[in-house]
Amino acid sequence: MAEHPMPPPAPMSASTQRLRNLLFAALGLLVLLNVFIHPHHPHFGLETIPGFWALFGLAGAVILARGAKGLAHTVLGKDENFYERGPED
Amino acid sequence: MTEFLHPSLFFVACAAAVWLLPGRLGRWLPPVAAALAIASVLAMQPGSHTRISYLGLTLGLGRVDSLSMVFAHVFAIQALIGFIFALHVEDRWQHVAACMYIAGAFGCTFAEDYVTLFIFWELMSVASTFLVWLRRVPASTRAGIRYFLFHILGGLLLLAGLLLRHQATGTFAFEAADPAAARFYDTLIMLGFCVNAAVIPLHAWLPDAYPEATVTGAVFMSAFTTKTAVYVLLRAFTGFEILGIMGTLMTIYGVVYATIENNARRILAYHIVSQVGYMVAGVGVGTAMTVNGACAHAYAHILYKGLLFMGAGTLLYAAGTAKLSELGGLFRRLPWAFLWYMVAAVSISGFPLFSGFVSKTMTITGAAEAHHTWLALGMEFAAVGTFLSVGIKLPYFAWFGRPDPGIALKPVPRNMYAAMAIAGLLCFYIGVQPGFLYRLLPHPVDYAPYTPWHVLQTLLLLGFTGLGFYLLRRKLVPEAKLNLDVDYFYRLIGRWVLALARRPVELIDNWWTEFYNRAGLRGLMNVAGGSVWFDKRVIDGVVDGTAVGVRRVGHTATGVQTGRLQDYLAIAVVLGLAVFAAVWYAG
Repeated sequence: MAEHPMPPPAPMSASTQRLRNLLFAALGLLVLLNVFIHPHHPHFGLETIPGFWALFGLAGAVILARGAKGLAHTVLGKDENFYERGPED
Repeated sequence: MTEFLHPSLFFVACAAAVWLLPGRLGRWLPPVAAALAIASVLAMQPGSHTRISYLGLTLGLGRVDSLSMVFAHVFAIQALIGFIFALHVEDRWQHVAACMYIAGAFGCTFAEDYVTLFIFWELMSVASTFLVWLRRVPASTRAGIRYFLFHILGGLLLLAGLLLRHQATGTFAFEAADPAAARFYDTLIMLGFCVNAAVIPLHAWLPDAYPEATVTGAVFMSAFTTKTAVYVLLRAFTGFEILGIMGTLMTIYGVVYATIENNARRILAYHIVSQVGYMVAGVGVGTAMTVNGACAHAYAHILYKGLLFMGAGTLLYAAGTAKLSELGGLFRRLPWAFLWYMVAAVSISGFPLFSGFVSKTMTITGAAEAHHTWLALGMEFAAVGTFLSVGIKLPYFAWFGRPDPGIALKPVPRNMYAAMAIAGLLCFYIGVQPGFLYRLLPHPVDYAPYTPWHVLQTLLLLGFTGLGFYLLRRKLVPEAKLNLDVDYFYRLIGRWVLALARRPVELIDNWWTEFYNRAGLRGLMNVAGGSVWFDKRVIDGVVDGTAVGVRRVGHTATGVQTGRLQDYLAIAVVLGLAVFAAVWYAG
């Protein structure tokens, strides 16, 4: 079966746009809540800064996605039949 | 006897019955055996039961305490769920293999000494290898050989360690080792355990073999092998700091590979490495809280990981492929599989109200409170990766993402959905009623998961991971590629050994053929009858079955090859026992 390609980005419908904005608002609200809710026993200093874990999540996702894909595109990624080929053939 | 009935008995009896019963009747027995196992686990009383004498040794088959109970509890439940999921499978050998495999897991869990442990340990290796082979495709045959060879290595490390330990201490007792006074034999035993716990860099057998196993076999394997290993590590090596570091590295290593993998079942397999990492780290940190965390996470993990494999297995069963690059848009056509998969996905990601939240945060908080801040941060980073790859990427590309490629779907049997529903409801139940799980743990629990801060922190972490995916979603498109892992090295070594061995073996083969072709006297021919057998069976077996088979000149040989491998396997087991007996009598 052939790989089927990712379609080009379609223009977003109004309802999708609304949903996206709602989710963004929810994320903003979480950071706002973080201003008022703190850990009782912070395990390290940075944890008390509002939005630390938000930044950690976002940065973590970006670093992981970029880093892992980078590895896959350089050293790790091989053709799917890589191991099926014998040493001499 | 009423206070302890060994659950393995039910599964061994069931395996025998499924084997002997005619027709399709046998399929109904395994769920019954699992139900009996649940009853026997619930009725068990703490203590040391079922001691038997064997070879002048006293073997303890029934150590029941708070640690073995947690694992036995979830093993029994998962056995029931797995067998309901497998109810439609007509191949009786799959049921026999699964029964023997689970019998092995229970045997390890209740083993009081290393000899008993070793016997059941090997039973698990052999039986699980069949769960790979019984998919009966060339790729699974090959993956099964590598899987089995690697587990032989692990078994040998364990065997060497336990024999050396016996020589030094005079006992086979399976007790905790002292981290401050660890000896060489302890290291050997720990390495043997680490093979099964898929501790990097000994992990490659797992993502290599699990995606090639049968649809239902992978569900069983995801539950028992690694978690039995976590149990034995907890039993013997709590507080060994190296495990804390290796466990945290595992959590990250697994998610890096899961982020770039294409095959859904291989993504999940890498997530086993990652999730078991949390447990291994908990063992290594070794405080009451992280030990509890490791047990709780093992319990929760068995349920949601089984469910994830059921979801991905359903994709494979229905669509005939588990490769994300070939799937997409199946949300409308497999809505129930999607729903239950998502329950498991949010559980593994540690969303509040689901099981991962009450177990994962316990290990991380425990590590932080024991002042292992870097380990805790590493595990939080892995939590980001978990949600990114298994919570968003996999479902996005399998169920949404692209338009439906229009694959013809095979109808999914109802029993598969029933099993997913049970597992999904349990994931949710544990998430909202963590007391159910916490009561089972070996140490008293002083941890409240549902504080405003824990919930907010988790939502921040996961919410912004989602934002990261949204921004990079076009970069994360799965690619039909293979990613190198450390199995590259042992595949390479295997190839060299074969290349080296092939020439001498061929030489002997040619010489032998020549010999009895030339000396074609009648009288000699009778003698040669035996040689022909030897030639066909042994030399050609070695040459064709291994050298050529592994070099994959023809896929047609697979059927024959599987038959021969069973012979090799039997020989390997007999040899292992012979070595053991010899060492035992000599010592």
